[in-house]
Amino acid sequence: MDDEELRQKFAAWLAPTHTMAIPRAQLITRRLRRRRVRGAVVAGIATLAAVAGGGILATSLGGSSGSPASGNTTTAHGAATSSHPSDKPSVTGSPPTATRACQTADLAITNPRKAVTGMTGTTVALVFRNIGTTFCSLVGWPTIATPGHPNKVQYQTVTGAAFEVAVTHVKLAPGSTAASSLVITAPGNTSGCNTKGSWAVTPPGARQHVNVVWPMSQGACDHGTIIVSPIYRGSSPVNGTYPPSARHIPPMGPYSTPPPTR
Amino acid sequence: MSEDGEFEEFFQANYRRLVALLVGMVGNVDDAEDIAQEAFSRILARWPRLSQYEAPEAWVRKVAIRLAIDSRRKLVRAIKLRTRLVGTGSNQSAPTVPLAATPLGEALTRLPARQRQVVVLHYIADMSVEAISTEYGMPLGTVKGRLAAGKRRLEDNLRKHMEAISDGR
Repeated sequence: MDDEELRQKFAAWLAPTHTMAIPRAQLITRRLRRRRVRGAVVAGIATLAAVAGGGILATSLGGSSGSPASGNTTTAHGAATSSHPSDKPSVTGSPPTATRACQTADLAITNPRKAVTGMTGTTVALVFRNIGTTFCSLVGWPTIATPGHPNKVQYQTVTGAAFEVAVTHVKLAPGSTAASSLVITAPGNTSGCNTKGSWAVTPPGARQHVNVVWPMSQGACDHGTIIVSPIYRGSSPVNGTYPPSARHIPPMGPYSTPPPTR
Repeated sequence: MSEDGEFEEFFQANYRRLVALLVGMVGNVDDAEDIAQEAFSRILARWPRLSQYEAPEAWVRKVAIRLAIDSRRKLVRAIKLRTRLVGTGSNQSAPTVPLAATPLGEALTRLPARQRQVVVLHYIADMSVEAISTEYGMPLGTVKGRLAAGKRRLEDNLRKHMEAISDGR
């Protein structure tokens, strides 16, 4: 069976779907509303369960005279386990102590096309902006794939003589940015450099990738090498040592895939 | 045009196409519609941002495919659990999930999820292997390999099905 024949068979099989009734978009709105209500109910139940659990624990630790809801539990155990709102720091907008990993949907990932050309190649920053409404964290290297364009991708902290970037824990506030510097080295033969490509970028700890359009004029030619640095706070390519206070960063890499950092 | 109007237009333009794709993944229209509506409700939650994308339909397609694979796994698990609970014999193979009534649909839904995904995207959504590779972050060779293996298996399944019918089984 050739491809065209198979396509036609599938089309014939699926023909009834071409004339099926399309529901009104309000159905989708209602469905979304229901899901949000379900989510709120589940969150409410979880909060109640946590409060009740904290109360039981505080009672067992502090004796029956202590009121779990009074906020008087001052032991380390109490502070660590109680989830009553009055026990939490009251600073509005401060990042939570255990920040969840940024997921792809939280981030706008862009190539701002500000390249710095040096001896080791072209250095560009891949920028991750938190477009969500809560803090999230990024630690380690983003995974870069260049589908359709064979390139060698290396993940390391010290990228030749160009710069050093330590693995740091970046807590990303809503609207703020982090970046990963990429040193792109073209091969001797530049025949594959005249097209535009799309790179698949997966933030560390995330499961889905985002396609970022990448002009090959930035030196990302086929069969070139892309050296990827860990993620750091900011949005510009690094051209020194990060963090600036670090005197010596133990070298890590090169790795062919990002090593685990959590 | 208002955001609601834009979404309505997007929904109208893509609903049938997405359902057709999902019928290929799950094998029946009811589940396909349910998954399509769930995927559209997810895109609606992020519509102000996703509407700025060059191709929001690629996003909804990806979500829908993932939901289809997940739903099938859950269904298979539920059937296996029920089989165990009612005690019909643990050495029996798990019953297959409800399938489309046509030989082609049946053959397609018998493919492993990863091969089925690529076959559906290529032959039903009419995507090139390069586009599948880019959109789903798979190496080109993997896409080609899964497509070739999927097609081979599909033809094999179809042939067996036809033989079974002609044998009167």
